[in-house]
Amino acid sequence: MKNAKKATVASLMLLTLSGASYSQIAGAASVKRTARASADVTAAAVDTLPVPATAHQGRLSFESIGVGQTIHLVGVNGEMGIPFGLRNDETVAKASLRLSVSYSPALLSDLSHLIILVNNEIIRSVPLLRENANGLEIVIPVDPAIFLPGENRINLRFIGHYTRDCEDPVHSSLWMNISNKRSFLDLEMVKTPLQADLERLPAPFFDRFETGRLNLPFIFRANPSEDMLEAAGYVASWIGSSRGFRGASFQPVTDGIPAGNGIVFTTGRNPIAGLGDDHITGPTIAIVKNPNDASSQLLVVMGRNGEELKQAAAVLATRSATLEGQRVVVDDVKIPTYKPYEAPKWIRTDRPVKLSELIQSPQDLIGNSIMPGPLEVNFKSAPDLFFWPYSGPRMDVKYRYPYGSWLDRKRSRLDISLNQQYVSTLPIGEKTWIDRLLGRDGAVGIRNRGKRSIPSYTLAPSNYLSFFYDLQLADKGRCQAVLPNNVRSSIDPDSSINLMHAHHLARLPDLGLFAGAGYPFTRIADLGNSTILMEEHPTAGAIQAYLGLMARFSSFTGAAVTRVTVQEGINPDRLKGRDLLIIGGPSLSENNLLENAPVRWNGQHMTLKERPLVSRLYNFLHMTSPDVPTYPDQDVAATISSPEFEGLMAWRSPFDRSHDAVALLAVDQNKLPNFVQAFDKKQNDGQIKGDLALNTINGIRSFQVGSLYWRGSVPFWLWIGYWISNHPLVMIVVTLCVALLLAVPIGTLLRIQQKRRLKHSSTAEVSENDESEE
Amino acid sequence: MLRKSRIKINKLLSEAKYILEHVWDSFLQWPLVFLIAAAAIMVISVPLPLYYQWVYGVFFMGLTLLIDRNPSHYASIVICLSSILTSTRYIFWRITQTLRFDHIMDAIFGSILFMAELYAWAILILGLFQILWPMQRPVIPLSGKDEDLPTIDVFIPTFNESMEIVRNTVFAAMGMDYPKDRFKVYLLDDGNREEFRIFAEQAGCNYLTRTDNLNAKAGNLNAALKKTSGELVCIFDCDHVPTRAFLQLTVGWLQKEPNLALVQTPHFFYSPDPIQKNVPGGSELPGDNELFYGTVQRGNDLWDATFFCGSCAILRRAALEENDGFSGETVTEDAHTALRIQRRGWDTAYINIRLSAGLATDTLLAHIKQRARWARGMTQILRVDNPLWGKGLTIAQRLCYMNALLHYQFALPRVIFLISPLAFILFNSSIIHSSAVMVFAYAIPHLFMSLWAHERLSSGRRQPFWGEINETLLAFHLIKPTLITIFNPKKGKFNVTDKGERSEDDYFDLRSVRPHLITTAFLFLGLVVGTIKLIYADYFHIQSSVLVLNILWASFNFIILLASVAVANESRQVRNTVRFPFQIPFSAYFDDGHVIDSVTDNISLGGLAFSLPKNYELADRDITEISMKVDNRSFALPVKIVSRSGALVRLQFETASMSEQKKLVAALMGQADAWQHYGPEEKPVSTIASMKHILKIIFGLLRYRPQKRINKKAAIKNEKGAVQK
Repeated sequence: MKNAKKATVASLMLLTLSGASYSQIAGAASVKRTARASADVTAAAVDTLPVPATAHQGRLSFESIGVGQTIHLVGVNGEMGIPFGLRNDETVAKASLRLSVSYSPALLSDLSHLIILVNNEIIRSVPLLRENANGLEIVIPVDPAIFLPGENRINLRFIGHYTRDCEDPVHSSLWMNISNKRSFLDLEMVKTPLQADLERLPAPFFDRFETGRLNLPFIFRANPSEDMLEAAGYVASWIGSSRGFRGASFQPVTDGIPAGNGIVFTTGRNPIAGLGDDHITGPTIAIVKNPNDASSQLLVVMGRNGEELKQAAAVLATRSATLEGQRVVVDDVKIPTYKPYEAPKWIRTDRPVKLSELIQSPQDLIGNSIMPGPLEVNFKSAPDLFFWPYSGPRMDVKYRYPYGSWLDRKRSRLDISLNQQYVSTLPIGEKTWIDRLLGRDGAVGIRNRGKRSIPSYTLAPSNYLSFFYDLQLADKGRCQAVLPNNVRSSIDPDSSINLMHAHHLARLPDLGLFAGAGYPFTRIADLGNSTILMEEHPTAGAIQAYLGLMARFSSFTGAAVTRVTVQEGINPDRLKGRDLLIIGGPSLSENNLLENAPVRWNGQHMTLKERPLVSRLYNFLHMTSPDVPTYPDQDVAATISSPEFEGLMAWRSPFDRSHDAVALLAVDQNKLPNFVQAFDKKQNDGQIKGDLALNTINGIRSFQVGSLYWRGSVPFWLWIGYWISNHPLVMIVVTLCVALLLAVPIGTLLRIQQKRRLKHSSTAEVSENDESEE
Repeated sequence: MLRKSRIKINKLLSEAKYILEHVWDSFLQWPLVFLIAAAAIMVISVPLPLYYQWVYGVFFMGLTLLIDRNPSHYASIVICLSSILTSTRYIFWRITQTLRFDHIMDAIFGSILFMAELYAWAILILGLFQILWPMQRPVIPLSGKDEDLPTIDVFIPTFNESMEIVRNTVFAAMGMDYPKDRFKVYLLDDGNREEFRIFAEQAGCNYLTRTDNLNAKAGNLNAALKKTSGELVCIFDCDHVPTRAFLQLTVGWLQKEPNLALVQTPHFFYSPDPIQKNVPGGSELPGDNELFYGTVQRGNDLWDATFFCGSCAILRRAALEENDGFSGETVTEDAHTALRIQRRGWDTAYINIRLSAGLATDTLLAHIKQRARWARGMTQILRVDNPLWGKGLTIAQRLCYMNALLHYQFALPRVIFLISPLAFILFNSSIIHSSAVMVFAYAIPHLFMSLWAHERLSSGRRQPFWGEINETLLAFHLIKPTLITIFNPKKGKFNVTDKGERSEDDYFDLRSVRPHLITTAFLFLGLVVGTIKLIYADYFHIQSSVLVLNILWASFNFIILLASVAVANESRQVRNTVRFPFQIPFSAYFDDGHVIDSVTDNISLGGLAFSLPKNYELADRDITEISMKVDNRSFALPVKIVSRSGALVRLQFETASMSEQKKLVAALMGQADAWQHYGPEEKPVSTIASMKHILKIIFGLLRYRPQKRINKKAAIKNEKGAVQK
């Protein structure tokens, strides 16, 4: 464990010594838009349409583009690469880079310097003079032509020397710090609106290099009907399932077309003037210039009726047809459906999965230099995986590392961690005697293989599997340390993870699974078994929250929610056999909907359900003792009954015991979208669990109010085995009973056998033998 | 307090038994069977996390200790079943969780170790089944008038043994209590010696010989069968002296059960075997054969699977003739003959009364050679006439025979267990893919309970750990015979065991224990290396818990090996004959006519010792004669004083006439109960006491000063001149 922590800390702090590359770091950026009217676009601000400007300035701090900590470069040759992105439809007019650095005062002024590169072009080489060691501000104007749309990169390369002879390349006085909070990239961007063409989708509506938060209005003619809401959900999930999605706010707009990019839904029955939607011939997708804003575009999804609208939205969302030009009619296109647990992003459990299927490029698994940093594989998994009696998924890791006398093989190792929890270590060993025997002496690298089990408790819905090569230099004498060049270590993309032995079983309610994976709705990736239940006339806040959740779900699954059903108003017949997601306010408590929910409406305010009297015996038999705190205390109960109530809760569906219900409710429904966004806030990490989560000023606080139950399918004998494995005393009793019970007939049989064998002798002699042990 | 708890447990257990008996009798019987099967599967297969497994193991060991206080059969069966469940659970865990290897070297070592463990588990289960209920067969007296008693031929086969030994057997055989006209004693001399022929004539027994020596002992017997005609055939090895009651006590069963083909009696040794002789404190140890004859054969008898052991048994000629005589294809022709006879549907029986006594193997070397022959023979049977298949046997018989045959395969697994800990200590090879504490948690209950169950069922006939020492002693030498025979059953000749050789000197039989010493050296090296690695654990990057486990294991092996090396410490055999600590009343006649009545302190076939009465003056007189009673009739023997120390006088018998010799043999070794209480008391010894004893032996060995010559010549001499066994 100690080593794991060291490894993870090292991986965060120490960086490449020569030519390393990190895998993509996605981070949320906060770009101050100085020209925009308001910072956050909330439901209430829908009435004031923001005024677009053609140019805007932005300041990207290093922290906002993903550099989490101060950059610390060490050694004779330390380098860090910082990737960042620029929107495809914007170009840089002016740029300057501002760095706030400090470095070791022991550096030789004439030999040490910092090289700054942007997209591999050297911008400046800054000498590191001794007198500025405490702090140096570097401001460099950057030629805007260097910047590219899409991926860009800043590299900072540190060359340091502290003596002219006999230098230790990893000496502790070779260091340099670059602040991540006080270093910025100042950009002046100009929008270059591209030709409106469906081919470019999802741009310009969604660009993964967007540095700000995405605000995309969904425009309807009037209050949207159920069909329209469903179609809107599909489209929200289309954005959500796009690569690089980091959250968005889709506010519904019903009165006119705002400036900026937007998505319009219209049926023949509800045409919007000026968009050429008078002669609709079938499900149609079109892209037009925004009549109210020349530099923006509108995506129009239309049909003659609700069905066709949904078809168009579904085709768009699932990318089932090639879209090009400015208008496409998409009838007669099949929309794929999903069976349970078939979400594209979820790692497969029907066969071993090769790492090559989980990484973006083979470079992700190759480390250059002696400190390659962690090689990461990211993957998502179904949230209800149950591995017992195995300890967890199994990994078959094939790995390569260099072979040379400079490598201290005893102290070097390959550490594997999942979600920053240590899993296992693979040895960096010698060539085997077989290799030597077969004369493979000349190889430069060694290929090794190890099979390991990942403990299932480290598994999360979203996983970061990291392989950290901890290569140590063998001790050399003074003045002989030379860093090896071109050191490459890698994990074979052929390595695999095997979850074939997993079952699906979850202990519900568990809001952590909802917040982290959309469970239980995302069990079927296109939400084929789910119904969204909203008020008869849903508020804008509820609709925005709904759209946000749809996008969120599809970012978990990678599939669009093309089979979701929306219901305005409660119709019990249609709610049987479905999982319910309830979004709205107190008026939803009619029809006793919230009867068994953790919180319900008593006419004036929300009240907490009484603590259930679940018997200990029941908990013992079903292993449903809660391990989450607890019943809410007085202060919290007060929040519940206040008008500031915002809550997320889960319980069994009132219409169908074999399905579940999750409700997102607030007295003031305008707060609902923010609540959804709060799931991702750092302070709420791991705070959402149990069956009642309240959004308070101090963050989200969770409780277990109702009783627990299990959902999933596991063969009964496995369940019995699992239960027994948690109750060893029962196992002892059972073993003893088996022995005691079985001993009786065995004893009888043996006695009968003895009688049979000794039938010729008198019974008196025989009976002597019965109870005595000789 | 302890006694109260014992009474409580007895009560609890018998009440439980009572209730459960009724449960089984009720309608719940069949559902109960399924439930038990399901529960057993669950108990065996459900893995527990580490802490829970410890709880389970410790609790269960405690429960076993509690139940053990109850001496009933029921408690024995409960303990056996618990042991079987625990050990099967261990094996299941081994199979499912620990057989994953990174390196090919690990895979090889690990699989080998696992095979050995699987063997040990199979033997454990079969063994427990076999000795679960040792039957005590009562004696049936002879029935009918003398004229109706069956005719018996007593065969005494010999090859190259000395006259001194064979003589006693012949005398005793002729003196058995049975109508003289209904039995004949035959001396079967395969060595065709004139001396023996003359002796047979003088003694009055029949003498048979043959021109060739085909098939060694089996051929000898078969040739005799052709020339004789008694209904029953009784066989004694030439050094096994029967008591007078032998025929009286065994023939009854053969009369009552016409389907009975064999009545076997124990091979009892009045001389100490090499372990008892060479090891300090060895006279307190039960003989090596005690467990087999005292418990295992009785267990076999319950299932009608007693097999012929070559001597001290009586067989039905009809059965032998059906089998075309004794089967000579294997070198353990006795067991094979029994197997083949049983295949034809005959029954066998075992009577656990010591009705004869013989000489144990003298030296370690002889002992090893004898066991090597047995191992080879049993393996031959395994290959040539496997009891698992083929017709004629019940399932229980098959299992019992298989256990006997499989037992002799212990050599390779035993060696594997001995050197396994070195794989990790010296080669860093992880042969069990699991954390050390987890292995402890599973293996300790398994080892503890199998030890406990075995101890309980063997009740004192073998002390704890001596089974391991025995097997270790023989293991290295038995590998070659067993392995070669498995692949080629026809190979290997019948080498004969030496009996009655005298060693003139104390010596250390280095040659026999050379492999043991080499392995001990390796283990010692391993212990040293392991300790160093443990102290500098960080530098070596080794998990110390795994290292500790292996070091403990290696230490245990080290102790066992050293104890077995101690057996090679051969001591001089000064006397020709064995001294019996019998107290026999006799009269001593002085040369001046005085007579005193006394009781012997000890007596052998060569002389006796007694203590003079208090204040009795011996002066310069000599004792010329002693007289003893046999059958209420006295007989006299010429003697002379050989030594005297204080009141203890030692007399030596002078040459006596044949009839006098006969009577002496009858008096000493012919009494019906001569051997029932001979030898160390069979009381169970605790594990700790046994280990203390073993450690004492080892320290004695380590203080061994090289005064004794390592006598290679003596060792070689023993190889020549084989004696037919």
